[in-house]
Order: sequence, then structure tokens, then C-alpha cells
Amino acid sequence: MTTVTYILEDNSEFVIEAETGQNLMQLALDNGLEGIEGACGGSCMCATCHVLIEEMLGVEAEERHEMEEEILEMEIDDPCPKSRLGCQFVIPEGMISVTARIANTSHF
Amino acid sequence: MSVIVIGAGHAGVSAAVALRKLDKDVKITLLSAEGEFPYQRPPLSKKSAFSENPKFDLLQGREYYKTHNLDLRINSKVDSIEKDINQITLFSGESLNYSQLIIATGCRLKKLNTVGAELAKSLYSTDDTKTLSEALAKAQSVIVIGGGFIGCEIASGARNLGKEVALLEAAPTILGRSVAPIFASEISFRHQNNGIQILPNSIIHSITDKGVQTESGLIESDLIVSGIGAVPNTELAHKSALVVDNGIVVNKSLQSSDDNIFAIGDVVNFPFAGAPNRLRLESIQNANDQAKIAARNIVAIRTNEALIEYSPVPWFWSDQGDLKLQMVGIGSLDAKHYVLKNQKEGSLSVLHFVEDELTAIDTLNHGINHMCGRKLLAMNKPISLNNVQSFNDDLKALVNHLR
Repeated sequence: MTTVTYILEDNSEFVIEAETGQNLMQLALDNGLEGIEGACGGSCMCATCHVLIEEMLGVEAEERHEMEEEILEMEIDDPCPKSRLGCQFVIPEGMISVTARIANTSHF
Repeated sequence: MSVIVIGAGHAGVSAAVALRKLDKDVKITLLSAEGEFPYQRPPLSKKSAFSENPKFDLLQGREYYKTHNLDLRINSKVDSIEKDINQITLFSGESLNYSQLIIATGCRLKKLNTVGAELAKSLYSTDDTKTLSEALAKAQSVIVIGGGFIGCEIASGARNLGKEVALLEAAPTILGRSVAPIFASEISFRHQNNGIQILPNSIIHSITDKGVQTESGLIESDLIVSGIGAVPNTELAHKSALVVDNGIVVNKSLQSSDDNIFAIGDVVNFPFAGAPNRLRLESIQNANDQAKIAARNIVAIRTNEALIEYSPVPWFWSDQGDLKLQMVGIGSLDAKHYVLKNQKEGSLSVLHFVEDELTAIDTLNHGINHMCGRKLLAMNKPISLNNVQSFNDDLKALVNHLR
């Protein structure tokens, strides 16, 4: 299990124990968190699941792949090294914890 | 005041969620004909069917409906709409009243019309996905009938599992109706390089337990999957005397022929500013965006504000093995097709021009050009081939210049 801490838009924290293989978009949806829309169902197409990875402990997640880089570059006004699409951030075996700040990119 | 949403796919759930965000108090009932919590459909053909024990991602967490006061009712198929008295009746016999109704009944798969059609598997629901996953585990060879997006996704998924795969298409080329011919042939070439046998112009006589009998002979296989497109679920609307013509006919505000009945998603035939002037789209973008417009317009009716119009830049995608196909705009076979030069290796970007105006872009493995296409088409100003070439085919530079 990996401890996932989401920092919500009002700066409050929401902590979830997650299983290996889960992604940060679906995990947020499953737990009813506001601010992550996931409009394309996790297909790296809509950039409505933007998060900033503040901290990782243990095994780190795989880095951004090319398509994710491209979508972030085009859709997020100011992507930084911490920027990820939640749907493409998959929790690896051996990750102890991760802290993700929900960055509001909802188009609604 | 109460709103009923019929159908709990992407469109229906998005509409309920959007309406709840706009109005904390309105009574919302979400009716699903299926027997499970609403789930994400795109992953079924892109991922789930090719996993050993498919898991299904939900559109919203199970608790969401309760905590947001959405009355989700599964196994609740609607039998009729009595629009003169703002009422619907379920097959169970129960009747419910509405102030506004949203129809989001989606599509169902087209069935093969051939002897032995029942031997072919198909892929639409979670049950189909489990069945296909189990069948794939036992099969060595697979025939996929239909070379559209879903057929290509299934063929790629099966091939990646190491199966021998043949893809049968009735037309002279796969993806023939969806993308520029030069784009379609590149995709076809890549699939063949990956070991998928592509058989265009296939005329199927019958399906047997040995394989598929075509005009050119028997193609043997352990498993046959059909993916030949979908038809809109318009029966309920038709029975209720709403105007139906290749989908439920709506106006720009997504109202059907009855002002209090909206329709959204795959089931809708809507007016489009470009060509053709009416469209029915089967896509996530269309489902989500229409859902938000319908939700807003329902609120607008209550507050006596002007209704807003749906004027989309349509986009689509398809994940086929290592190939990510991204399409924006409504492409046309009659358009002039221009292949962008000097692009990154392994990618392909094809622009569609009608009367020297950009109407669509098909991209393979090129997210930047796809996103540029969305931005360019949303600007509502004509983009000519000359505009593109004067920026050395660099769409990002063109976007930045026009911004």
C-alpha cells in the first residue's frame, strides 16, 4: 500500500491508502475529490487531471512520457517540473508515499 | 422542480454532475438500463479486454451519488415518455415526473447480418469485455471484422498479446470513413508491419466454428470479433413522438422537438456550423461538452436567461498499440489533404483544407500538433495552407502568432 496525500484547492489534505497500479486521476475520482475531472477517462487527451507532485518517498513513479509532455506543454499555462497528468501517474510497487497538489484545470 | 436523466454513460453522468455543480437543490434522478455503477467506456477496447482479469474504472466513486444527492437507479430501463404531462414510465411500471428531461441513451452495436453472426464476439459492455478477455486467453488466432477505430483497437490489443490477427474490412481501406486516405494507409502500413494481416474488400459469406468464410475462401481462426459500428438508441424518443433522423434531432441549445426535453451524446443529431451542417458524433468530447451545455441550459430555463449554444471543435482519439491517433475537426475525403513536413520521427500530421480553409487535422503520435489543431479551429478565423507554410509547417509557431 502507498499513502497518497492530495492537497485540495482550499489547502486541506485528503489521505488515501492506495494499491500499486492505481493512477492519481482514478483514485481521486473514486474518492469523490473535487478539482479532478478526468474527462477522457485517463487517456492522456484532456488535461483535466493536472496535479503537482510535491513529494515522493520510496520507489518513484515513471517519468512523464512523450505524449504526456506534449499535452502538458500545450494545455497547461505554466507547466513546471512537478506537473503531471494524474491519469498517467501510476503508483509503482515500493512507493511508500506521494503528495499531489490538485491544480485546477477544469474547463467547466 | 426535478430533472430526470435517462442513460448513465459519459453523457448522462456528466450532465448530472454538471447540473449538481450549478444547482445544489434541484432533484436529479439518473436512470441506467445497465446493472452496475456507471463506468468509463473508452478503456474497454483500449486496455481492459486485453487484461487477464479486467477491472473497470468508474466515472465517479460509488459514494459520489449519495454525497451529491443524485438519485442513481441502476437496472431502470425507461419504457415511455408521456411528454404532454412531463412524465416517464419505467418498464417496472413506476412513473416519474420531471420539469426537464435529458435523454442520453447512447448507441448500441450494429449486428453482423450474416449466417453464423452469433458466433462472433463483440465489445460494448463490461460483460462483453470479460467474455472477450476470457476468449482471448484461449485463442491463438483472432479475426476482427470491421476496420474502424474499435476494430483497429481490438486487432492491436490482440496482436500485442501475441495472437495471429487478421482484420477484415468491407471497404477498400481501413478507417476509410474517418480520416484522410494518406493517413489511413499509413496506419494500415504500421499495423501490417506489426504483423496484423489486413484484408480489405472482404465480403463475408458466413461465420462458422472454424472461422470466416469470405468470397475468397475460408480464413481459419479460434476467435472472431465484430466491430462494425453502432446505431443510436432512438426507439424511446421515436415512440414518444420526438423528431428522430439518424439520432434525436435537437437545436443548437440541444433541445429536442419538445422544449423541456434535451438530448445529448451519441444519440443526438445536432446542427453544426461547418460541413456537414448536421452531425451525430460518437465521442467523449461530444458527450461531455453537450452534457455541460444541457445542464447550463436547464438552469437558464429556470432563471429565465438566454440559452447557450453548442458550437464544438470536435475531437477524437484512438489508441492502437503504440499508435496514438488524434483527430480534430470534421475531416472529409473531398478535402485537400496536406502532410506537414519536417515533423518528428514516427509521427504523421495531415491537414484537411476545404476551399483553402483548415477544417480538420489527423495526427499520429503527435500531441502538440493535435492540440494546436484544437486551438486553431477554436479561433474561428480561416487558416489557409499558405498561413501554415509561411511558418514552415510549424503549427505551434502559427498558434503563437495568431494568439
